[in-house]
Amino acid sequence: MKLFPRKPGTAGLHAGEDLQNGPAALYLDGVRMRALETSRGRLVATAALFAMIFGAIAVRMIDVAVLDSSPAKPRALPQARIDGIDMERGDIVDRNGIILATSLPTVSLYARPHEILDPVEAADKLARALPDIDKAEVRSRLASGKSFAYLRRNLTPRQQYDVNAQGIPGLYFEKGERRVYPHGALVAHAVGMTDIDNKGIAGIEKRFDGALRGSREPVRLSLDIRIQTLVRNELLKAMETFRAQGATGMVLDVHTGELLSMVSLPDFDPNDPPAGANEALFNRATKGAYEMGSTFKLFNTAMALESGRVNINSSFDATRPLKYGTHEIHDDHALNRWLTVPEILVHSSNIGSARMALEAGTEFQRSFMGRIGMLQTPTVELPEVGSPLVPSPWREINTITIAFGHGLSVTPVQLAAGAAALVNGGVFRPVTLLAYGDGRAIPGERVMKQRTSDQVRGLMRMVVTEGTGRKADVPGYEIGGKTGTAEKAAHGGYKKKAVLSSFVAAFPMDAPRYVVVAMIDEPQATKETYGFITAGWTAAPATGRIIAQLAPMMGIAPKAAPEPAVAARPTPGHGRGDLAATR
Amino acid sequence: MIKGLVSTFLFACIAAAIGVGLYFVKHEVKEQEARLNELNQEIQRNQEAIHILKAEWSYLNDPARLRQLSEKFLSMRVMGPSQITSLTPARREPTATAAVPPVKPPAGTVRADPPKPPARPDAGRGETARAEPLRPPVRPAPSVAAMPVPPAPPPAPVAAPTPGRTIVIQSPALAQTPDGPGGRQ
Repeated sequence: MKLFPRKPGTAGLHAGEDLQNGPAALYLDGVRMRALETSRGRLVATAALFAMIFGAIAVRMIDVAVLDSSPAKPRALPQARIDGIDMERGDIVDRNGIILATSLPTVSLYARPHEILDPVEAADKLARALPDIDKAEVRSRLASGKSFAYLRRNLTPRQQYDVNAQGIPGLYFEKGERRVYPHGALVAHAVGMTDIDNKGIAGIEKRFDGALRGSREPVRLSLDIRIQTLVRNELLKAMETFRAQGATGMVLDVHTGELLSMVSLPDFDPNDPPAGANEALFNRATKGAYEMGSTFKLFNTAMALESGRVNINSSFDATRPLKYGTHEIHDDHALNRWLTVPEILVHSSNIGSARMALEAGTEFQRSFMGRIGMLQTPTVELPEVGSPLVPSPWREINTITIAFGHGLSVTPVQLAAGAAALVNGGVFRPVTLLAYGDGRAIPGERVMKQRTSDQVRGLMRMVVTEGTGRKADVPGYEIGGKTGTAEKAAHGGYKKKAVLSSFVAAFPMDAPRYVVVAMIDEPQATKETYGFITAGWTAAPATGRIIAQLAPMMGIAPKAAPEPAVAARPTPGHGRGDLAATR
Repeated sequence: MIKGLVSTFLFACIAAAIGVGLYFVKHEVKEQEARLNELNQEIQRNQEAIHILKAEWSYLNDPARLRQLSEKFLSMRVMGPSQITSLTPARREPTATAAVPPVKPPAGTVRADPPKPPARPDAGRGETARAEPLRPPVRPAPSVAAMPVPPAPPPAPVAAPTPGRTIVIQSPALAQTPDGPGGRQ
């Protein structure tokens, strides 16, 4: 198929063939040739141009598609967001995962005063939506002409709706977060609190401020709010009964060093903290260093037994007061005879304890106290931790007074940690407020022989069965402990009527699991205590009540005194029916 | 000629079909994305709500409050050590019955017989108002099974708990549940 077929009838004949042999023909031929040449030249030029352009495009395409060094990334596929919400600050939970502190989304109301048309009207309208707002102050803020002013933080959704409904121009809402403590005062001292900008300013909130920020994993504490509640209730009751200034209590797991409960009274509501330097903000359990009094005799006895110079049957002269220089050591309930080691502890003899300490030696006492953590600042994870007040130099008179708990001030948490080391077989474990998860190694250091620990356990039990701690006894649970009534130091002397009565207990005594410390600051005598303010009448009963509730809660089966009788002599014919009745 | 036109037309149709298909797919994708966005927002809202509800749940689970409520609405009290015993005595009993042939003393002698005090740990169950009836140790089994709660014999000197009240706390958590063992007292 040809686009320009020859005309029929002129086959074999060129157009203008008849003129080919003439000059005109030659001329004509030249004209046609020239026209053809011109158009061919133009065609070539055009083709070359197009070829160049297409070549450039092709090169560029290869460059973009094949040789591109930074290929355009494909658009990220839209995904479902099911991985929780991002909060500015992580939660704090107790050992069972119950929330102790969390951040809730809130909105804050702010204004751009320079956009406000009529500050007076705006303030009036705003006061209609938020009746408790200070109208005059709002008006002055709105009239200030600044570019930004907070009007109210943390609105409830209802308030937000009301403010929005007023339709005031120049007011805006800002999404924010608010720290909330669902349990309020219950764990206030451990958890601490944050300031208005959600920055930790006390307790765990401050200590783990960095870790809590932007972390989705909650910080899990070792506290158990059930135990915390019962300890707090009992201490509150004791404080009220004895019109005391304060109280503190702790429950410590002797095998891990975890604090299951830490209460310091008076306490505060971290959702609405008291302003300034309030006494309620003071954490007695970790920050306050006190002379513990007779509870130290436990450590003293352990120290003496550990030294090897004293054994459980040694006896010491307590016939008359011990004189050292100008000092004279008396006993509260003087027996005026020689006392064995158990008797010294059971009757809480100052003289006997001092003589025991002298027997063991100043140097040994000091190193022993250091080993059970009495001379170092405790390691508990709180910013509010007090350092012990250690005598320097440590003279022999210090040895004597420290034997019965004076002259060395320690924090209650140190007392608990030391007591745990005494009863758990002689391993000192640093106290912690964080729960040990699976696989986290529990640090511990052997500080005394197993045998010493066993003996001290026996002695602690005797104090409760025969000595000053009788009111702490709970039938079924073998509680061991030691009372301590320390007169508070004031103006270079000691106040007789202002005491710090404490009780440190451990149970069950055959295989201790928990140490309970209760301390009451300046209890006042009541009729029920027959005028006594000593620990045996104040702190010991409170501790007993705590343990009576704590033990069943922790699943510790009570032991009966004559239990072997039940186990060994199953009465015949007693079986089937009872089993049937069980159902 | 015809062939060329047909193929051209065919290709044009295919192109048109693909174009229309692409348009619909794109539209669908847009719709799906909008829906995903919506769902994401809803998830976010719900998660926020869950977060708040969790805080509220924690607040409502304040042990002091629960205690108050349970004291108000349930006749339960704090569990005491005397309310716990172990299953060990009960476990021993089948073998004991097997070993001792069924002795069936006349009922009268049983009543007269001062009970061998098994000296239970929790012999003095003081806080329960009603004294637990003493079950004589050698009572024929069926009769006991017939009356699981026998009337309290007035002369019973020792209020020994029956093993029928055996309670074992498996976990500390159980002790807190309203249906827990503490609730049965």
